[in-house]
Order: sequence, then C-alpha cells, then structure tokens
Amino acid sequence: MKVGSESFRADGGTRAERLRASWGKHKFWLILGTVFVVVTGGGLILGTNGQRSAGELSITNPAPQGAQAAATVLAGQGVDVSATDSLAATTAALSANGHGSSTVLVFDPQQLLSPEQGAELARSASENGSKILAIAPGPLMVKSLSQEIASAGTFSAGDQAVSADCTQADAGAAGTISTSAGTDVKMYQGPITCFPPSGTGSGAGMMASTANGEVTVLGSADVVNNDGLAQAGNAALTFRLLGSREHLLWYTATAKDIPVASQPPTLAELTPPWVFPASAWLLLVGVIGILWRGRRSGPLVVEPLPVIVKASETVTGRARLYQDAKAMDTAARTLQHATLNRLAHALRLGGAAPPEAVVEAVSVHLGRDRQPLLALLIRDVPRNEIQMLTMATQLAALEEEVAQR
Amino acid sequence: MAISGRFFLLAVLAVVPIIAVPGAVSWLWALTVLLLVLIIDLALAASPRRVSLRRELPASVRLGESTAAQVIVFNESSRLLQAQIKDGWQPSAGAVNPLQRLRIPAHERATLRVSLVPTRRGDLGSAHVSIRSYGPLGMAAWQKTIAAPGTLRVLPPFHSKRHLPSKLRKLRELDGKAAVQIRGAGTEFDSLRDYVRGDDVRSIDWRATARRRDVVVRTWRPERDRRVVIILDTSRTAAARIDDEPALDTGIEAALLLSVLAERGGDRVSLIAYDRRVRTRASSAGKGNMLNAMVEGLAPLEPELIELDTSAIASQVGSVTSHRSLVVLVTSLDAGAAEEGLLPLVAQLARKHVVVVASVRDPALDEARLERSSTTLVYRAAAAEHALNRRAAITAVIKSYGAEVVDAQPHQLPPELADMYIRLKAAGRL
Repeated sequence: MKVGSESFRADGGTRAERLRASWGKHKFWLILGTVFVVVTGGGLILGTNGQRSAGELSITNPAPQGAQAAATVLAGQGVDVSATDSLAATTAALSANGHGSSTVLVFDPQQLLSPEQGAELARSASENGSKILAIAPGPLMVKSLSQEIASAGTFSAGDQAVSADCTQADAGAAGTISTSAGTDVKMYQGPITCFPPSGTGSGAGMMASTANGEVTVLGSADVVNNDGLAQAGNAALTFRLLGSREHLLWYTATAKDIPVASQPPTLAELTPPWVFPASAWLLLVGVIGILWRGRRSGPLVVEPLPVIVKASETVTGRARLYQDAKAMDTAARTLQHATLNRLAHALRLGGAAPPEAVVEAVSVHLGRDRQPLLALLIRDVPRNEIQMLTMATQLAALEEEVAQR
Repeated sequence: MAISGRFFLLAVLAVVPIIAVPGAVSWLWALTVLLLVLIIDLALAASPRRVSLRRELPASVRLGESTAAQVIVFNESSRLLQAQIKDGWQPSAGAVNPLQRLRIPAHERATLRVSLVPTRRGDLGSAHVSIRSYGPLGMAAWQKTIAAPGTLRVLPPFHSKRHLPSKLRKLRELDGKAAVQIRGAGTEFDSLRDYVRGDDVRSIDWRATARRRDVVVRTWRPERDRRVVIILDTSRTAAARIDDEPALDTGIEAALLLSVLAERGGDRVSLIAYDRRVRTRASSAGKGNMLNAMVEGLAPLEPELIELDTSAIASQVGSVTSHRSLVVLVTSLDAGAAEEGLLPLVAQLARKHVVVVASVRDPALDEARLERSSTTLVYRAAAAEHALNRRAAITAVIKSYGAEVVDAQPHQLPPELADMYIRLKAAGRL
C-alpha cells in the first residue's frame, strides 16, 4: 500500500475569490437568465402599464382601432365619460345619473347581446330619458332598440365622403362623414335617415334615428375611432351626438352579458375545493423530486477509451465488394486456389506443385475419375450464384474427404 | 447544495394538511415549513470545505484481481460531519462501492475503503472526491468536489503464466538437468559426472575415465548468455481486436512468457515496444526483477494510430546488442502493412540475426472460410480465403529469408512462441 504524502483540500481562497470563480464558471447562464427575466418582466410591465386596453373602440386604447381620442376630447369638454362592460352596470349607471342627463354609446362587435337585452337597454334609457347611440348594431339589435329603425344591408365604402342629405341637426352640422375605403358599412332606414351613399337610391343611409331622436344608429365604427375621427365631418358628428348630455356611458358588450345559466360550469365548480391546491402542491413536489434525483454526487468521470478496430472488417468489406460486383469468377478462383494449396499440403506435394499434379494426386488418393476433379478444381467457372454455391460446397467436401483418408 | 429523499418525503407528506384544510394559507404554511427545514438543516451542516483528504493506493494490481483504494478523510470543522462521499474512479476501474456514508466526529478522521476490480489494463485514475455533508435532520446537504488525483497502475494479467511450468520443464530437459535419461542437448561443455546406465556411450570422456578408474561422461548444455531481443509493435495494427482482445494485449502476453522463459534459460532478454519512437524498454541486464520492470513498463501501453517505422527497428536492435541474437518481432502479418515494411526489415535482420515473426491469427477468418451455406457466406468465405492466401504468401516469403514465423490464434500465440524458442535453442541456432 502506497500512502500518498499529498493532502488534498478544497480549493481555498476567500469568499470573494470563490464568488469570482463561480461567476466565471456560471457566467453564461447567469447572464442568459437575467436577460430572460428582464425581457419577460419588462414586457409584462409595458403590456399592462397605464391600463391600456387593446379592445376595439375602447376609451383607453390609443391604437387606430381604439377610441381614446374621442373620449379624451369629450372629457376635456366637461363630459363625464365612463366605460361600462355589462348591461347591469350600464342600467345601474343610467338610473344613478338621473333623468335626462346621460348618453349611452352601445358597441357590440361580437353580437353578444340578445334582442331581449337590447330591449331592456332601450327601456331603461327611455325611462331615464337618455339618448342611445348604437355603433354598427346587427339587424335584431336594431329592431330591439327601436321598432322604427330597420337594418338595410351593407355596402362597401368608397374613398369619397358621404354628405348628410337630411334634416337632422347633428348630421347637417357635420356635413360629410367618411369611412376607410373598402370596409363594409352597415345601412339603416328609419324616420330620419342620413348619409345615404351616392349611387344607392334605396333611401337607406349610414345613420338613422328615431323621430324623437332618442335612438341613433351609426353604420361604422370608423366615424368614432382614433383613425377616422379627424377626417371630414366625423369629429363634428361624434362630438355632437355624444357630447350633448352631462354623462356619457361608453358601453362595450363583453362576456359578462352572456346569461350565467347558458355558461357551462367551470372545472373549479365541479371538483372538491382541495383538488386545485393539492395538485399545485404535487407539482411542486415533482420539482423537488427532480432536484433530489437530478443532483449528481460529483462531476461525470470520463473514460479514456483506447482505439480498437475489429480485425475482420477488411474481410467483411472485401466480401461486400465481391457480392456487389457479382464477382463470381474471382471468388470461385480464390476458393479453388485455396483448396488446391491445402490439398497439396495434405498430400505432401509442397507449395510449389503445379495444379494438374495436385489433381492427379487427389484422383489417385481417392480412387476417383480425373476429369470431374479437374473441372471442379481448375476449369469450372460458375455462371450464376447457384453454381458458385454448389462449387464452394463441393470444394469443402472434397477437402474433408481427402483429410479423412 | 443537495436535498435528500427524506426532504422529498416530507414534501409529499405535506399534501395531507393541504387536503385537510384547502386554501392558500395552508399552502403557504407548508411551503414555509419546508423552507425553514431546508435553511435550518443547511445552517447546521458541517462545511465540506473544511475537510482534508489523503489517498492510499496500492502500487499496482494485476488485471482481473481485486484491490482496495483508501481515502482518509479528516474532518477539520468543529461539527459532526455526516457525509455521503464519492470517490470518482473512472468506470473501467470497476469501483464496487464508490459511494459511501461516513460519520466523522469533529476533528477526527475516517477511512473510505473502495473495492476496485479493474476491467482494463493501464493507468486508471480517480480525479476527485465529492463530499455531500448533511445537516442533523438529514434533509439537505452542502456538496463540494475536491480535486484529489490518484492513479492505479493495472498490470497485464499474464494469463500465459500457466504455460510456464511445462515450458520450463522442456527447457530443463534440454539442459540435461531434468531427471530424464537423455544427453543434454547443446554444444557447450557443462560438466563431468559418473556414468549411469542408459547414458549415451558416445558422451564418455575417456581421459577423465582413465584418471578416475570410473566411467565418467561429459554433459552438455545449450548455449547460455545469448541475446533475445523482443520488438513489440504498438502501431496501428496492434489496435485490431481479435477474439475480444486487442492484438497488443496478446502480444504482451506472448512477450512476457518468452521473456520469463528466456531469462530462466540463461539468456539475456531485452524488450522494446516501438512504433515511431520507443514506448517502453526493459532488459534483464537492468536492476531488480526483470518481470516486474517489464510489466510496469508494458502496463500503460496503448496502440497508436500511426504506421510502424520499420526502417528504424534495425538500429534499435543494434543499440541493444551488436552480437548475433534472436530477434522476435511481435507484429501483424496482414497484407499491406507487412509487404511494405516488414519484409525488407526481416530480410535485413535475417542477414545477421535469427529472426522470428510472431503474429496473431484471427480465428474469425478460419471460421468464415468454412461457412459456405449461402451466397453471401460464400463470398465471405472467398474473401477470407483471399486474406489467408495473402498471409500464407507473406509467411512463405519470410521463411525464404531464413526467418521463422509463429502465426497462431490469440490463446495459442504465447505457448507457440515459447515452443519456437525452445526449438531454436535445441537446434543450437541461437
């Protein structure tokens, strides 16, 4: 037993030196992790910062499809703009604001509101003496808001602004409105119908309102949104329609308006209360298990392997070459040659004996005819693989026979 | 840092209160308890940094035998070290129990004893020792790997040692020392002794008989103090695996048997492992036990992927001895490598020395040439015959130079090479 005189210790150094060493070792992952956290965290903060929303015609959305511009201008003019996202909240706000002091903007791009809900909104508005401006409502919605107005299909908007062409004061003041070219604009027909697009002589227009002016429908959100507000008379129409009262309720229909009974029960309602926390805990336990089993006791140890080559590889390679080239003659000649050599040694003729002499000796030794032996050992060239196979077997058998005698 | 199975179990059990009292509060409580346990255990664990190690390794071990490597662990901290210690031996060292638990009180020491059953010849190493120090609860541990290089030299197995007694007996018979009634073969006069019945009458020394009035015979012995130079080829051809053993290992076995036999036979043996430079060199003229020096030198040999520099071998032989000697080339007879380098070398050496070429024969070739049951196998048999024909041709050329060839399968090569040596000695050709 050889006792090592050397004593090994953990690489020493102060705590600072160790920290520096481990920084050098894990630099890449530390930097990568930090960048990942900063990017995700920053993105998350930027995404939710300032309570911006990405919803279409939302009063906190500064994008082209939002309506922050109109809401901000109206608020600056002393109108109290408040956004609501459900029918219940809207009707509650209506009754809270008091009689005759509210305008309601209704926007339902996903057709979430049922006709009954539309009728309820109209009833609540008329009870409180409020005006309704519906942006691009569907046919059923229009009918439920007011029996006087009807939907009249859509048309594809052109480049030109459309002139008012009616007696309604707000429309007259606006003069013309425009929508972005190529979009589908809804058309309505009512007691007062304004902005009939040129070329459609059907009497329908982009805006319609009831005789008493309580309910107004507008065929396109482009008139109100940030993108289109500054064009033609859009701003004038928007501000006149929405800014005439003290309060403006900016109601966008959301999933909250879907009746509860028609929603499927959530998983949380169907399972016992402990399932979620327990499965979350088991997830954590799984991570702990990974950390437990995944920690190696010490670094991997490498095995320096020596070079080892299988010796018979060249033979295998040559056999494949023979087979691919169908080199039956070469293979057969090699076999014959080898057999002749061994027979010569077995019959003590020496390595230099001519093949014919070996054949002669074999025929004498075995007492067989010379000709077939001559053919087998020297002359035959196989023409197909079956012949080669037969020949190879016969050669092996001949050797065995000679060896036995 | 590392956690234990116990900690995992604790985490699993914590699910019970979470199910009993569902809610975020119990969840957070469970988390807090786990973290507290972790922190307390880590804080109370002994530092694996304050440990010093010392290795105790056997000088060498023969391949196939088992041995034990020890690591003495000093706990220099003032706390009880409850540690799981792993000695990082490389896989071929065959560590049976590299991972062990030790309890070492403060300022005391303990020994980690790892049983090793090496599976490969050469210098096998352990680069480091990893210490995982658990706290008193056994929940969490600090882990530290300490670089502690240690090397174990695994010697060639020398399986062919079992042939040694029978070959030595043959050699003694040759020497006339054995209890058989034959005249000692050889040409050197050895001694005079009384005639015993059965002795060859031709060996009676009449002059001595006249002096003593008793019949006295002369005994002869083979030449002694001849040189045997073994050249072991470690070039690329030695990397060939034949019968699950590299050709180099077979060559080492053959060289060892021949060396021991020749040394007992009274000859001086030199061994040179060579490819393009001398890998190892041992000689019976050196100090100490030749066999030990030889196995020590041969142990770390690995085949190199380079061509054998045959032109330099003659000068290597010349550097060992300037006299006529037996030169044994342990190399390969494969076509290509042999034709270009070996044949000119043998021709050159044979002019001055007795040359024996020893080569391992692949038994797969002999099997392949007899397998003729399908077309593919016939092609393979033809390829094997081709290789054997080439080998036979090279053998014939070497013999025509007056050199001898020992071409045998791996297990047969050492004894056949020994037989060749005895035959040459008997024929007085040394």
